[in-house]
Amino acid sequence: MKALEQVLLKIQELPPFPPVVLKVLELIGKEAPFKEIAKVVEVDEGLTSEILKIANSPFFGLKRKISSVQEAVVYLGEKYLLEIVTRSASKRYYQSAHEGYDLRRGELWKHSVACALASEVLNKRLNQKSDHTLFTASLLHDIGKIVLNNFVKETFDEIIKKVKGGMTFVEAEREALGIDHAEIGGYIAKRWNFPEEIIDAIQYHHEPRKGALYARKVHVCNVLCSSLGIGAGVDELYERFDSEVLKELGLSRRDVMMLLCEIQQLFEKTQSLFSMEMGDGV
Amino acid sequence: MKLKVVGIGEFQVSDDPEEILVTYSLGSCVGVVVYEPFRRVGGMLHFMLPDSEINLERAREKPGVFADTGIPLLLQSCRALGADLKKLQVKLVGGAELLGSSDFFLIGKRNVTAARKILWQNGLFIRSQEVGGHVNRTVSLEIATGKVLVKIPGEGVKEI
Repeated sequence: MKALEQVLLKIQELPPFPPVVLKVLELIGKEAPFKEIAKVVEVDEGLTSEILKIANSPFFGLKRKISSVQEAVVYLGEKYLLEIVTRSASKRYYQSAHEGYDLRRGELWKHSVACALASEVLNKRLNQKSDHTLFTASLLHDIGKIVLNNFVKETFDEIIKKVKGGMTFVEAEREALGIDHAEIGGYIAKRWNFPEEIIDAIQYHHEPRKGALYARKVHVCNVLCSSLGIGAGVDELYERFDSEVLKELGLSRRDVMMLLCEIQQLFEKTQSLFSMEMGDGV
Repeated sequence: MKLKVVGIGEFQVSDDPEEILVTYSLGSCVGVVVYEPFRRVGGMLHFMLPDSEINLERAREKPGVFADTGIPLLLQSCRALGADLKKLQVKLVGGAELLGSSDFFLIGKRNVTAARKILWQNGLFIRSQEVGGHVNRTVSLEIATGKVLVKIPGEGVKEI
């Protein structure tokens, strides 16, 4: 149980999730006026510059220069605004390499962003509207890996042996360390005072039928991104795909192929825009 | 040595002996690697799905996404660089599955089958392959020698 105690200690050390993001989430949820949202954002210098940079990027192709958050918020609309705010805030947690999972620097972030984009694509295909809570849950589903990373590295050989013996990576984590990255992610989300749906989705993204609807959706987004090899570490294909969930959501095989196609397309389109400005070498 | 990266749904061909073609993280996607040893022309395609019928608009915009539109284009581009297609050595990499993938999913397997079929229709057979299983693969092709290396995270590098 020693490893477990250490892990729990590590969770305490993780810096809190920026309150400004939670505040923006809340305001958008309440359909607060843009002006009010802009006021909250303006307080954060990093966020302000990120938003202005993106509003003025060729992606939006605006003719005149946007120079205030007020204007940017109106032009970007709540969907992009929330994406920018959440991503910019989460980025700091994902900056280092995660060697335990054999991920290069920035790869876990790429995977997380892809999953968040996938959640938008999924909802669209299900004829449901864009959902900020689902977006956040998808973006943060692997947050537990940040804490678990060091421990996985130390016991990597043992875990790989178990995996080769037929276990999923998550099961092997649990056997070797007494806890897995999904459960840790759940603790972290709780510590950050996220809503119950997000905690549940993160905790059960590998066991979707133990969780609620968001866990199922995040599960699907996660496996599709892993399948595409986006930000995939050593563990990604050693996870169990619960294809019953697809049926429950009413997705046919053809839908799945279309989803893969659309996720990759959206990821490609937005990659340069939201990159971590990292080299893409081997 | 210069690295030329092949992204998802893209292909590259080369006759520059200084170049190495590489594609990262093939999950269920398949890498088609071709090499003509006499003219030293090589090519690599990283496709995602078997059939362009799923999204024709995407196929027009980016034919390398699908096996049926990507492979013929890869072959044509090799020929344009002077390769004799009859002498082409073909290797397949990728096409992995997630654990527990039921018959319902199995995108990797469908991709491999599609590639084999299209190559066969073009009179080409697969010389060697590193497909299936539950791993991510990174593959590289050295244009000077035709050497194909496959890297699997946590497992190291091997030549196929």
